[in-house]
Amino acid sequence: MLEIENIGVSFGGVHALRSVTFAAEANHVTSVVGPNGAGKTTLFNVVTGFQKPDTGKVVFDGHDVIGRRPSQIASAGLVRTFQKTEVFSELPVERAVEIGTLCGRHFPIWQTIWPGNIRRTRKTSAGEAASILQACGLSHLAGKYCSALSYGEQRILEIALALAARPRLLMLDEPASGLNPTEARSLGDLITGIRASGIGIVLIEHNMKLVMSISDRVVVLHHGEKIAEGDPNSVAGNQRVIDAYLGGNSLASA
Amino acid sequence: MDFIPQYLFNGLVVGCSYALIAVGLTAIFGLMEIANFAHGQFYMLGAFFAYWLTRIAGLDFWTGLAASVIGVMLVGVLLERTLFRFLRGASLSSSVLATIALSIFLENLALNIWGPRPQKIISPFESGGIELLGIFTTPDRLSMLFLTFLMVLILHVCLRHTHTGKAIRATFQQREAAALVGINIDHLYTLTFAVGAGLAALAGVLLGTIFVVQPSMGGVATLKAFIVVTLGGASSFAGGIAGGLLLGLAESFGAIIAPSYKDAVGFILVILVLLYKPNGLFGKRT
Amino acid sequence: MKAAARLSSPLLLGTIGLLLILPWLIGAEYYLHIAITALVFVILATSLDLLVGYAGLLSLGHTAFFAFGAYAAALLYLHFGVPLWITLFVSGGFAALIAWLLGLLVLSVRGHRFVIMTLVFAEMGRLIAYNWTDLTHGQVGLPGIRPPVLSIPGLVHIDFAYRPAYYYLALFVTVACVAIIWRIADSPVGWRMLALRENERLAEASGVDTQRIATTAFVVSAFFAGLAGSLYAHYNGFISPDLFYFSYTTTMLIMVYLGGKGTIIGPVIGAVLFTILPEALRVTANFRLMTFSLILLLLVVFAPEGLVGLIGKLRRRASAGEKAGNA
Repeated sequence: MLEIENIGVSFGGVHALRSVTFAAEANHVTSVVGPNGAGKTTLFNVVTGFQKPDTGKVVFDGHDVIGRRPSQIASAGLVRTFQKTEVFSELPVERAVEIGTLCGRHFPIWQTIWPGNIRRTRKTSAGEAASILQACGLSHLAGKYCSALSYGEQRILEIALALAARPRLLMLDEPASGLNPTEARSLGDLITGIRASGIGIVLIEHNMKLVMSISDRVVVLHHGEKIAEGDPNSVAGNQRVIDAYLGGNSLASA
Repeated sequence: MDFIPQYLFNGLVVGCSYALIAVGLTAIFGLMEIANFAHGQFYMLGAFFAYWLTRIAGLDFWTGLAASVIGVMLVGVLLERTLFRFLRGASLSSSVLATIALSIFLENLALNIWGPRPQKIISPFESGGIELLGIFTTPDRLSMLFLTFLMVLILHVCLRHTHTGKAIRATFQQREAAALVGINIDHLYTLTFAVGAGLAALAGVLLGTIFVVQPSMGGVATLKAFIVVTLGGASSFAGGIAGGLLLGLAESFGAIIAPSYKDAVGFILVILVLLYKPNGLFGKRT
Repeated sequence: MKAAARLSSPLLLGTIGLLLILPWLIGAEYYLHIAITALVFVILATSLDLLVGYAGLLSLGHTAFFAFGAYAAALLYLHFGVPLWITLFVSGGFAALIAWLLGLLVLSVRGHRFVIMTLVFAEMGRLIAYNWTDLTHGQVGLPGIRPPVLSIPGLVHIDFAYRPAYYYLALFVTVACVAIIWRIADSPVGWRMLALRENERLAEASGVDTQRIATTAFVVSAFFAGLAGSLYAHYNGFISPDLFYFSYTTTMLIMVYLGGKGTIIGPVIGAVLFTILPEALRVTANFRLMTFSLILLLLVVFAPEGLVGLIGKLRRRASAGEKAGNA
């Protein structure tokens, strides 16, 4: 579904990404891990159109992605979340998700002029928003403003908003950051639930417990290069990966 | 083209006033992140205080100058402690609109107190031009240059070598870190605001001896100040000073080509800078 | 917006009825003059609200589009005899074109930079109108712009210089404009503007072409401002570079904030109130501005959601109180 080929990005002589290549599929959770500064978010930015790479190709569903606006890529079904929580702050939660379902969609002109049509559209989208909120376990928050939610709730809301955009592939940037173990576990359930509905997921995460428990594939980046790829267990046992995380110290001396 | 040095000089004189006003705005905008659209009114108030103190109350010029600057600084402190404290952390729309409202209020207050007719502050020097190296000038203009230079020097020394100055620079760079280290942000803000207001007031008094004093000068000054801050990049005082001088020079030379469109020079510069160097000519590249 | 429409049909019908019989109620030419002025400002305030309240782009140059539209209408009439029916649209189109071109420059930045660019633009407009005397007669202004005459031989002859007639004309145009703006706001275009306002990065990541929607908001709001300029020019008969003055923008902003930004009905109320109030409080212009700037200041700080927001809050509290009482 998503093919990332040979992506290279450099700023002022420093290689943020170098020859990164891998693929992600529907119904799979692919986790991208690596020590801080490995270039993971830069990779997300390139794939979702927020940044242009110096080299490489990204193909989503057979379409070339590089050079397109983020909104075009999102409309095509490739939706991301951000490392720093982004929500529609001054809107009530259900309205925010509703707007999320309506934003990226294209409506023919006649449908937008007549108030009756608009009312019908909004009714449908309100229903859609409600079911998304329910799937994410946020229904009890309806009526509250996005900015009034707790950090953990906002993090999940972000995923709800991403789901509202009808993704075929969801790219989550550190969704578990700042979540306590209970919240992280619910997040894991949510992600596996999303996978079960046929949506592919690519995940940047530092929470290894989460990564190991839900990933189908793991890709490890270090200093902008891919150093390992495979199923979670084989990657965990990969010596290069261990060295990257521990800086070369053997586990025995820790 | 032997009038070029003349235009250069004239441009520098006006540029100095721009620099003084802009430095204060840079400090407020950079430090407190409030787009203070009322800043030019400190310039106007300084001029009117001086006019009132010298013309009406009969004080001599230099005392009047000092009193005006201090007076405006006090107004600044009052405003900072009330309105601007409120605006810290407010959205851009809120601070822009609130300060615009304040600006209009102050302008019309001045209009009601002093009337719309342009006034002049009586210069302490005897009238009459001086010719210096082929340039015609007056003692007022020369003292404007001198005093600006002096102020910049004092500012530079204070920022570099005093404890407070270093604290200001630190907070400018990294607000949260500065607060953690124990710097009293509140006091710093008030001080910075007051100094910014005072510098603008100084420019007002000095320029009021060269040109005229009228209530509408505040709004113009605000726009010019924002243009300068945009040109120089809101992240450094040096940028504000350089930007101010640059604008003054650009307008002066622009007047050669099209005298009635001289203000447009600054406008065009700003548009070009915003398009090609959004962080200002001297700003940091993010 | 649903709330406003549902806002008891009797109220809506009553207001419409009142508006229709207004000339008979108030008779005096002076009051009709205020009514027509209020209508022009209704268009200006609602179009500004689309940009500022819906899309979240704080433009301080709105009056420039108004002025450009007014000049376009004036010049077309004075040089070519083009009547209001056509200048309405040409003025709107002209302002929209300028907005589009300006947008290419200005919409690539946000925040205070955008604000300054719009200010600079308005000032540039004033400089041009002031100095291009061959075209605009500069400070002297352009007088003699007449309202249209509707003449179908044998059927009807209406000279819109007759003030009540112009009132109905302005009323019709205003209602049409507000209705269109309302439909835009309550449509996918409006929702995308909301998304832009709330969080631009998120909007883009959710599929909103933020550049396109910002341009749309900018151009559409300018169109209506320009149209209002034509309506004003043909009524007032005289225009000058003063129309570019920042005070007009301030007035429009107060109207938007007083009524409640981001709600189309708010600016309508704000425009009407803020046109009537200054006339009712017959104080000198200076005190007027002092009071109004103070009002704006207090509004922005204490009641940023304006009258409509306050009324909404009161109604919610009243219904919550009722529920509590019944429980």
